[in-house]
Amino acid sequence: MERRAFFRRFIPGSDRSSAPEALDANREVEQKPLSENECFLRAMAMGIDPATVTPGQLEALVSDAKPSQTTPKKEHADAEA
Amino acid sequence: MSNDTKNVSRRDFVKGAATGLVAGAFAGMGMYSYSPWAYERLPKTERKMHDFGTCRSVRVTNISETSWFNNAHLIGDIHEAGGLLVNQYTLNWAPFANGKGSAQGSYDDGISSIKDLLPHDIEKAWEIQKKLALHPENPGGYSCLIEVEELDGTMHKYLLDTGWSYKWMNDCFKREGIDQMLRDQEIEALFISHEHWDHFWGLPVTMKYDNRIPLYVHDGFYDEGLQYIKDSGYKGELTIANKPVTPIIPGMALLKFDVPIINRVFGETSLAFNIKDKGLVLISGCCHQGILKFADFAYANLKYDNDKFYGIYGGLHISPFEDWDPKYDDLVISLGQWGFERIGCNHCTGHLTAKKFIESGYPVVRGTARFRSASKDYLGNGDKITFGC
Repeated sequence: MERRAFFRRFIPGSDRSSAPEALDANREVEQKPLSENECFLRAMAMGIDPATVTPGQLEALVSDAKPSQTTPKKEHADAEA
Repeated sequence: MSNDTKNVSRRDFVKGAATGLVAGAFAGMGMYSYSPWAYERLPKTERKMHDFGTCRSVRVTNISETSWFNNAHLIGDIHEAGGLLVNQYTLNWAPFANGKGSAQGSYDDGISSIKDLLPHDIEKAWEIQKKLALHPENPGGYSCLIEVEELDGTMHKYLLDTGWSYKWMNDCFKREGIDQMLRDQEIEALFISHEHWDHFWGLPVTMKYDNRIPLYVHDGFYDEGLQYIKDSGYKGELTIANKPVTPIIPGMALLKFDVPIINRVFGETSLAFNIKDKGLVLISGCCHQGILKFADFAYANLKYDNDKFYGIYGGLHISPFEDWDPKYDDLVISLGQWGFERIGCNHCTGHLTAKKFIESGYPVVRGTARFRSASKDYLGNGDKITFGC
């Protein structure tokens, strides 16, 4: 067994496809910071009223949550982007 | 001195030195983080200092802060319908109920049952809707009268919000003489803080007495809300607030916040006043933007006397359902750091939060617990607060 192959066994997710473009694209999506509107919507989807927490707490609470199915009004979402 | 201490091995010496260095480094970092040098490295807030003039005083009369009378019924209905993202017009609450049960309500069904009665026969309209709605006795409403005195003594009257239950709000308007003020066209405008049931759905009650009053709403209002304004019999001049700061009169401005709000509402507007020789007064309906964002926005955008936050009134949205989470403590502490001299909170601030404010020594103006307000810890229905002379 090569040294690289040996150590790869200990890295989580290293058994996935190793196509570099796909991995880079995923990483970019994951690392993109959430907009304030998206944070609010994710919190509501989790049953949290976003006004009742500080902005820092909100970010921490929703960072691992999946995106909600409901989007804000289109014009506001566009403005936010 | 014993021989043991004399004969420290090189290994122990290095271990001790390394431990001391690591501990010292952590201690140093901690001390630095509280030092002025660390704060100087933080990005400075660029203040726009928008000059919106000065007024002499503001007096607020709490027409109603009791938006609903049973938390469990309200929360239960929302959860049963699917949670905080469910469209408020489908919750099957009056006046948009259709008798089909949870999450089956619709604007069109509800309004079609009462449209012909609005705005003149609101009593009959509400009775019809009560038979179709979930928990028909739960609605109350939020509304306040704001009287502003200009520097030359000129007085102005405004309404912030118009409540929910037609019956409850009509009774509250009569109790405070708002009905007559509206008939006499003494009230210069109605500001709707946001589209929620308890601030906006009582619109026909205001329309009954003055259906031409200038009306301000956030530009995030949904189609149902804009249609409801027409269906309520409104014939006046509607202003859609679409700027972050809209000056109203000298010393008074409307502030706009673009945030998604529970049960498919978008955006809240709040009011700011610059009181001569005192400072800034902030007034909110529900403060869904969050009190910290509210204060941060005012600090970053407005110019006000003494560069001081003087007072705040309204729903501050910390424990609206009277639960308590340790996270809320951070909001309580943060509010204290702004140094308000007069806090006139109520409604969705929550009684628990008001108690926390009082325990923290904040200058909370107490109420009288009349007209179904639950405690004296905050300003209740019929109570007044004055900012300025």
